[in-house]
Amino acid sequence: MHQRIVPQTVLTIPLSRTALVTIEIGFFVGSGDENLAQSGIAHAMEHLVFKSRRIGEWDASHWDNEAALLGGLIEARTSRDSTVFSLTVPKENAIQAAELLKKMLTRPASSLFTASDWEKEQRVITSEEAMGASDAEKISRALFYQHFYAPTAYAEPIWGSAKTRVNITVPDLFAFYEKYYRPENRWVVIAGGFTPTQAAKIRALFPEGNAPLTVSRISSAPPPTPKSGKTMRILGTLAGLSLRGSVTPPLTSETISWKTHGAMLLLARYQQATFLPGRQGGLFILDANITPAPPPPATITSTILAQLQNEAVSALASETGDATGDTMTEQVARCYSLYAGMGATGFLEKKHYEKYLRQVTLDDLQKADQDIHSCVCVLKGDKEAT
Amino acid sequence: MKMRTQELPAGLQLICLPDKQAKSVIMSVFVRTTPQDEGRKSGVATLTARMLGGDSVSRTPALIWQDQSRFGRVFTVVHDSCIELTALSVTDSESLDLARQTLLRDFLLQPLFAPLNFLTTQASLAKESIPFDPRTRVLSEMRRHASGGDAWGQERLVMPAKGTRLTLPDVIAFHKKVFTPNRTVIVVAGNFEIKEMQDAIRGQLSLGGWDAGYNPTISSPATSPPSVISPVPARLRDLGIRAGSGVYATATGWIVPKNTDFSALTLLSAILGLGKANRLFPLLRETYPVCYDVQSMIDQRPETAIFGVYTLGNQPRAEIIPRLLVAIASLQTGREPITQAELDRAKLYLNGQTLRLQEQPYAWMQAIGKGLCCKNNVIEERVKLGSVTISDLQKVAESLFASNPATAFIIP
Repeated sequence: MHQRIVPQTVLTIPLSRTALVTIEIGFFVGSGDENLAQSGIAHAMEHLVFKSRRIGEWDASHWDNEAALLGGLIEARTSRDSTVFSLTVPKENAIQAAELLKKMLTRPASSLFTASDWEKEQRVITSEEAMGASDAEKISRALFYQHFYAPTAYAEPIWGSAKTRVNITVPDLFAFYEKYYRPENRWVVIAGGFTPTQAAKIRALFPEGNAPLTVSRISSAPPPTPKSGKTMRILGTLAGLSLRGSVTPPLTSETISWKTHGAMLLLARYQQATFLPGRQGGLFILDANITPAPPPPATITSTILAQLQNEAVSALASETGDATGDTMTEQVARCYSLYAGMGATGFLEKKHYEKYLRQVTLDDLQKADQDIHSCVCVLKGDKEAT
Repeated sequence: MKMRTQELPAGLQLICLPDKQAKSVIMSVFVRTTPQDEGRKSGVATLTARMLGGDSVSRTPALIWQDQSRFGRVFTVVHDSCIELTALSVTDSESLDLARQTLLRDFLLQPLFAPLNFLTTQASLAKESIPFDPRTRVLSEMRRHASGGDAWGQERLVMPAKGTRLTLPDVIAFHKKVFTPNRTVIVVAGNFEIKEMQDAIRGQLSLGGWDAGYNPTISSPATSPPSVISPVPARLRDLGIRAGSGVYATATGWIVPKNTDFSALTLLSAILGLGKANRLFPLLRETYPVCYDVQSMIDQRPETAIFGVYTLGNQPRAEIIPRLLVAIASLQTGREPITQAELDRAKLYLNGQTLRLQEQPYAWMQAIGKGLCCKNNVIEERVKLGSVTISDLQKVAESLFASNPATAFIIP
């Protein structure tokens, strides 16, 4: 059993210029923690908590209907590090939203779902898996994880596979829920335009959040042993896409050099790469199709570094939302949850984030570049007919 | 967010969304165009859009790039029914001036379609690949078939296809025909003074004679869009595409009759398939778990719109479309009429969604600009949601679903 201490578990992030509030409840359990034979159980659980019903009073649509009445939609996501449930609503509904999420996630296991629900949900998950198999970006990311982290659970697809899902029984799922969907294994993030009174009332809903928590995980995956390589695999039926993926050193709170992490963030910004930090190391993905190729770190001057630092600091403070459909409150909450799921919330407190980013030197950027182990994934196919 | 609308004499609409606390200014120009404007030169809209900013009468390509690094950047996006040019800028007056000049003078009004610009843009487009997206693809096919597969129904502005010969005169002719003030909407959001911004924009527009006295030739569509296709010819009703993508996708669509109340249609869409608290999600994903995703959508075009429902998953259409049509028929015939609780919930949900949209200035600007290009005022439509009644919804459902739907599906 892997355990760690998380210093703060109800994170309130007031944002002055918004009429929305995002509530996130996360659990310290993700697909990277699973036993390989039951790969996909964390993701299955994420689906099944929505099934929770009270016979004769409400059905499985209850939670979605209640969220819609508050003006929002409950979303959920399972990563390799954690499972997070999120709801964004107009700020006047913040307390009701927190109550709703709490209620949904603290039902007795026996009221959650039936064997028939699990049977049906497996078909939905199979659908989701099929959709992932048609998404070039998801495929390439999955291949990178497989390449760098096999044979640990971190290398497996988040939804597992039909072969591993069939090993998961209803009693296994109940036991999983009882063990990990517990107050001492969760964190809460509230981001948005809430009032101090609302914040106090929401905090009161999660009284355990005022004390440090000992986080339990299913297993402690071995440290990654990053491998370098060249072209991994060619798939003939997808759109042409070539990505250069790299893995960084692990970013756990015990071993991380936050400055190195800051350097990775800045390097990603400079090279227009995607940086996906995780407990077992970050994935650094470059689109190899870009011409001209992204400039190497050696071309970063001290002026450019200062500009990158300013941009990165202001990006966190940005209150404009983005064009992807996520509001500013969702982006901020998701960012905090990402680090909370890694057991490393401290980094995201602005003073730390800014401090570590500002400390990064040109040498750190060169070193960061050397730290990453790279390989290339090519998904080759015809262009979509237009 | 406050809003100020101004219509210039030449027909251009200018909308300002000032926000004193914003840290930047976004200026977007939306120019209405559809595949009909391209005629047989499919892809010329995309090629033209991509050439904008590559060269200009007043600035060399190098200077245009250099200018952008001083205020932010400018980019172009080709949407289904319009071309968007957007400038992002910091808020100091010098940067804003430069951003306006670059966007309006160099990109919009005085682009230079030089041979070198043409060749490099064509070469760049030829290298691009579009990742396969089953949702986009199935909806495109459904739209094409819902409209009878004619020129009007071409799904969207597309990349130049292999074998289509496009020349520089084609680009110049397209630009002359389409880039006119009466087809243009400018939306500005962020930290600026309204009067100052309006005056400065008018000043820039005068460079092209767009501020007043412009006498455009209004080009009308070559063919009128159909208002109702009923019944959809059998050969067009179902279209299967073998995509080898590993996913099944279906799209079912109806042409929206003319004079439909769009506020009621938006609510009907929410009640049927927007988000998760609706009729179709519990039916198709929970009761019969035959798909992973099911959503309704309204696809607006300048003259009309299509209401559609798409599903994604791993089950063939026979598992999905009959169940979907039964649910639609129950609603249309009044066997399962819309309830007050459903209407109230949909209104609350859409209010929340409107707030979300308004908090993302760029997304909100796009919704406004693209809506106006389709002659639809998103803001008015959202305001009117509150007064829609069950009877309004039932009327829309009865007329909308009276025609046969067109369907498209993707087979792995």
